[in-house]
Amino acid sequence: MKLFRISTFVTLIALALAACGGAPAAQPTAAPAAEQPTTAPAAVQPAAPATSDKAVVTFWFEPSDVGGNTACVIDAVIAPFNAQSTSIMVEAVPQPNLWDATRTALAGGSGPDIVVTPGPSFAFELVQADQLLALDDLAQQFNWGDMFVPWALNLGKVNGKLYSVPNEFETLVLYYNKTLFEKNGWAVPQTMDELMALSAKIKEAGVIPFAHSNAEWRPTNEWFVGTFFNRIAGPASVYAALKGEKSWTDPEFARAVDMLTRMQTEGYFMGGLDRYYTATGDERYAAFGNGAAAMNIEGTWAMGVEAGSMPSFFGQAAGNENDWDWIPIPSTKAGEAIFDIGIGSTYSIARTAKNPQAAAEFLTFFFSPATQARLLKDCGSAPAPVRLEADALDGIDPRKAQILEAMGKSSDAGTYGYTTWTFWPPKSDVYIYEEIEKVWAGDMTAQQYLEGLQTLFTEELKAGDIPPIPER
Amino acid sequence: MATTPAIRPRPPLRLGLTTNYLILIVLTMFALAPIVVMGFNSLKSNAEVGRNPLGPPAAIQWNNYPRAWEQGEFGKTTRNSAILVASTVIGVLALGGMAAYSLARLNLPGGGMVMLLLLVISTLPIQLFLVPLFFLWKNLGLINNLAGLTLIYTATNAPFAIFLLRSYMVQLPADFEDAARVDGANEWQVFSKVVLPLSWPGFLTVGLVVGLGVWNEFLLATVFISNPDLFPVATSYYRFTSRFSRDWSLTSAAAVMMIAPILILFLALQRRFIDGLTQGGLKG
Repeated sequence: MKLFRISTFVTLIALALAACGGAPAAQPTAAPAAEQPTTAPAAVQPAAPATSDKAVVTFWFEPSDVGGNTACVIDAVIAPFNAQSTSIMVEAVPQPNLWDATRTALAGGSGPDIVVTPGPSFAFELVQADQLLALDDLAQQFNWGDMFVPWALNLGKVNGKLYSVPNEFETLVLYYNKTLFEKNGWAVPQTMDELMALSAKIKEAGVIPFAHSNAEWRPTNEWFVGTFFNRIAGPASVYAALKGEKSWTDPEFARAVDMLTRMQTEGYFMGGLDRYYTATGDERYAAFGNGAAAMNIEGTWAMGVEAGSMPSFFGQAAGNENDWDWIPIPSTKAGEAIFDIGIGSTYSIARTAKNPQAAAEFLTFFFSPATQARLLKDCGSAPAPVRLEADALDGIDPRKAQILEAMGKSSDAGTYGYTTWTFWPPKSDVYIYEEIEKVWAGDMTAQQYLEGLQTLFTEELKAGDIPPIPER
Repeated sequence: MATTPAIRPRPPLRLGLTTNYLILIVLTMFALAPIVVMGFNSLKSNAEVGRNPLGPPAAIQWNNYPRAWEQGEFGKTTRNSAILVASTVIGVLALGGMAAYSLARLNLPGGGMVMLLLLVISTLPIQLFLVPLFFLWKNLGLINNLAGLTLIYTATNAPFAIFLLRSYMVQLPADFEDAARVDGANEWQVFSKVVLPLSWPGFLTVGLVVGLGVWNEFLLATVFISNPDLFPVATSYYRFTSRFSRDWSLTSAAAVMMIAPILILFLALQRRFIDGLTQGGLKG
């Protein structure tokens, strides 16, 4: 008994020490009105103290989405919103490990009012758990249909109801070391066959054809599988297969896997599988920037503004005189520009949100063309699929502006493909990037790989786990 | 005629010693190389880390350190981690020490079952009970609270501490305790005046292991804390990442700053730690 009393006493001391030492948890509603800032705060905070008569909206965001530069999200979005709104106060928290923290908190009956997920298939998971609010009425009230491009809101529909809106509209393109190409007299390829021939020529010249590796992100594999599906089989076939109207085992998909495997076995990716599996992001970008590698198939996220992004490895600051440029990834037909639609994250409102109306008002501000333009220019964030104003691209790198313009045209014309992480169901998606390594290692044939994919995909199709796909 | 056998001089051990030194040098290099590379990379630009990931820096970038400190908000996160480590270590040593003594010496009814229960509980992955625990903590008002996180760390580390300290205490000669009891000491006095000093190396080991674990912990900290003012030091690394890559120069600078306090603590305690381990419980 005495021991119990002592242990309780010691624990209480420990807890008191912890409680006294820590900063108090945010109590946003208790601060006086006079403390509300009218200008953007210089550093990341849980926004400004809220006035007691303002509705509080909590918003967690991923710091890595802006290269750790969380202050720019506060400056570009949160502070302007809080300054202009007389009735709503947004509390923004840069949350490392955002997805784990969010889904645990939601499952535990808590969490932020604005729910950010890593993509439509993750939002779909939360809808199935009944943790998100249907947004149809709010979308109509705030005219989100006019704000987004035509297919965008369809991505967030489950059983005909809108649960999430897409952010970070991204695609994959072929970046190339322009200086190296000019020096060697290499012409940019127009078709996949030309790309294969050029890769062989580049290798002969002692240069690595592609600066690719997956050491820091294993799902990098799926960028290439999806790219080759969309370029060799074509977006229409991919769409049919995603709808369950075509089999993944069809020869056109097998051809895509075979071609990708040939690239790997020829050592076109970083010089061989050993380097593909071990080179860090910095190493491959450095190889690309200094001319040891010639090309890079990667998403638009690579053109960030932060240190460590691909452009920071080119030019005098990086110790070389090289420059880069881009082209659409070639397909089987010359001149055909296919841009695969990718969504980096989605935004929803939690079912537990105390004030959905206020949350929707913030989302309307967040996805407005003006805010998206600020995020693009100041933070280097990929914009949401919204109708950006004509001057939104002023002041950004012209190559980035060209890609965004081309993506917009492709989306309007319906000449787009599908990224695996946005449109494939979760188990099939994991299968795509994990099992392809067996094909590259020679432990599995392309046909066996596709049969496995078809089996898994059929199960998920029957279970209704396919993420929403915009009609073609 | 008996002759005294000539005492043969032992052959010089030069070869053996050289081999030993060679092996030790290789092992030392194996242990130190990653730390040296980290030190090098902390002083390079990001582009140079990509070009030359292993060698010394061509142009030293001292400003990586203040940039990493500022961008990672280390002033805040280090303070929070220090609080978490100190309070968890105190809690684990106090509770674990008393529990271990009870299980080792007091012949508790069902003591074996308690040990089995602790073993089973300690093998369960935390993810299994993350959501119910979150729900409970939310209702207790312990979310976004360093005390709430300390309680979890104390509970999750206690089984390890109890196992280790119990094993240590079981080996102590009971004569010391009997002598204390004969002199009129009660159970608390036996524990605090006799067993605790003799078990000091065990407590030190537990404290170091638990402290290190809490200093590096990430999952629970990010799930149970959503107030940036309370984030621990492990979350600072997230400030140097983009979606698919990482700023290795800032990460390395941050890593040097993160391991420095632990390294200094270990070096300061190393002598006592090793002395305690070698002396065991039989010091006169």
